[in-house]
Amino acid sequence: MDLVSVGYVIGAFIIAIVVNLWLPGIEKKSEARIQQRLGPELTSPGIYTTFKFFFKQSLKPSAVLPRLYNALPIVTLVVVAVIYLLLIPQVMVSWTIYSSLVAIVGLLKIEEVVYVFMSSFSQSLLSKTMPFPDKAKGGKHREAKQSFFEQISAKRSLKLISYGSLPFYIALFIPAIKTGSIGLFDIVMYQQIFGPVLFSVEGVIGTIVFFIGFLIILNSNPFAYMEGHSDVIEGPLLEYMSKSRAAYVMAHALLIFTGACIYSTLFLGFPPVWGFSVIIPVIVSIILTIAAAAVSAMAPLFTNREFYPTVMGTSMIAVIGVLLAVI
Amino acid sequence: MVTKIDGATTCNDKERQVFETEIDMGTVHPAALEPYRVRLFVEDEIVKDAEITVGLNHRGIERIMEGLPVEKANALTEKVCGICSNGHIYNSCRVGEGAIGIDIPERAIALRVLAEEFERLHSHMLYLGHGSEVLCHETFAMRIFYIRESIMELLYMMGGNRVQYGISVLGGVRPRADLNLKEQQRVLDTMDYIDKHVAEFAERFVADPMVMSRITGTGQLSKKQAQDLHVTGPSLRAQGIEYDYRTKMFEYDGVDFDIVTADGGDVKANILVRVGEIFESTKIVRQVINNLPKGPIVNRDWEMVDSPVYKSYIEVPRGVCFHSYGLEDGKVRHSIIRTPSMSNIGAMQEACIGHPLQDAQLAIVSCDPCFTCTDRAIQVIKL
Repeated sequence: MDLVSVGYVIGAFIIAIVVNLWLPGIEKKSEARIQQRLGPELTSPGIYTTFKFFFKQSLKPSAVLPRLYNALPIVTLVVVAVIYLLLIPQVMVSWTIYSSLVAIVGLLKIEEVVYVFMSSFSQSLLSKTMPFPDKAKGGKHREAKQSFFEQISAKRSLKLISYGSLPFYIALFIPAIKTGSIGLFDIVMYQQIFGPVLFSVEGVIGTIVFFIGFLIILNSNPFAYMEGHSDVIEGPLLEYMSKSRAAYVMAHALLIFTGACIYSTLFLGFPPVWGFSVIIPVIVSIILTIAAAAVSAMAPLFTNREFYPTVMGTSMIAVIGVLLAVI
Repeated sequence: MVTKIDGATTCNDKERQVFETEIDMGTVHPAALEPYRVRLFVEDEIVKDAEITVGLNHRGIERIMEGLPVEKANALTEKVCGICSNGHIYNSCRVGEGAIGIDIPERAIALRVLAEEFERLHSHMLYLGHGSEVLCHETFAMRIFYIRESIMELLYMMGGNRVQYGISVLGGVRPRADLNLKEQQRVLDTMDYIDKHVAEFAERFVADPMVMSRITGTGQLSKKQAQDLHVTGPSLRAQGIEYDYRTKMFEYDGVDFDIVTADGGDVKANILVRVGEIFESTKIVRQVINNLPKGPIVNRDWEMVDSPVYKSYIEVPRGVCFHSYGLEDGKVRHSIIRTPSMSNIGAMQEACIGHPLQDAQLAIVSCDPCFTCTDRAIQVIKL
């Protein structure tokens, strides 16, 4: 990789950082406007919140292996950053062997697995360790084994890994099947010659499934049942504060932008920093954020009763998209 | 079933039941408006048994009332609850008036009914907002809170406060609570506004398939369970049981309203009953305003007498509220307050059972808990 390419990579990350600082604000503002309220300043949730967390007092989290627990958002941030790195055209050309759909899927799975560890480690005061005389004489089932509700989140994270995110991954492979390659560079070049995958029936199907699947990956409402406020509150994230919370906010924002870049690369043929077309992933990320905010504002939290059929239905639609791509 | 173990210990089969795990929520939890502890005994995220513990806000109001002059004691009862504060002072004044034998002017009775219906309106809308929050549907919650603001403004107009209005006094209502013609017109306009916007809200709510999926069949109680647990108020009427204590209150004589009931006993039925009651309340308010009697609003022409314990029941937004006390030298004796949530706690526990963990708080909220006022009034008995 020559110096110019390194410059492109640095430029791509600068763009990502700038966009990431605004995306949470766009999300919150859109949601607020749908709800006919003013909402926060555009800069508040992304820029000020992140910086604010950096300067907050840090306490030892109530978690087993607290240092590792605090490090997990940084792991997420690094993993998402690597995914973003693989999408940069100069990296695609130089590291063709690594820059493939398999790598993207593998890294996204790591991002999902991190939540299992977060949930397993976190032991907030809000459930089991709350100093309350539950086992008092006359109380029900005094022998029952108490659990932290983060453990419920851990189980839900496993469910998300095993089948929840399935539609998203099926949707990722629609462009690969259509273009006949899992290499990102090949997929991009195919679309530069034959036009975006989006402009086909399977592309449209893939887009719909990608969007729903990406909401599941993001743990966004209505699929936020791993961190549902009505029962497990924030689940794995409960004990994050200060710098580790800031790292999580940044990782989450980068994941939104990276998701938009994945879509832009696979379905439109425009990876980030492809000449002046850098604007396309940015526009996609803004559209994705506003759409996610709209869905979040207009839907209740799904329980298993709604979640299973949604995942099954979306997966079946994705399979139809795959079949069309094969044909 | 009781079984003998080793010929010495007796225990219940249900007590010995082994659960996969116990998930505890509270006493601090964002889905709960108040501090309480819920123990949920769970198998594969399905709640098999539940235990709700209250008592974290006990302030011993009944004990503080003992020995207080009756008018001061009445004012204190308003602090029992932040949502149905008017219901408590109203009922407490009713006890005092019944015990002493005070005649209430007709205009004061009408104004008390108005205040009580305003309170029912804001309480039911708060219920809808809280329910929407627990569903994690913020937009519906925001919408209903916008609409609720109109009724909060009316309460502010009438009582000078948005929470503790202090409308009822012994013998009638405070001078501030009287409504002039302009204010009466404002009340009527607000009722039109509420009817229009709550109807729109309800239409959107029931037309949303995702919301319907969450609330249909959730938190279901059978009619028999509801009766056995002595469920009261809209939660009872959501079982299809036509019982509203307002039909027995002399204040509502001559007021035309329907008792709203629904079948199913689930969260949906609970919500629909309360939406229906909002329309009935606006109907009552219009009738009261259109037939508002002229005359004094308070009767101060009475003498204090000693009285044995006098009891009074009224229908507050959550059900039947009970107040009782006796009078001795103008002081309150043997005060007892029972809020409707006291009766409904059993229903809340039962409503969780058989439903996913995510629906547990929704099932509790569907019974419209007001644990803090239950705590504040509960009588601690030394064993």
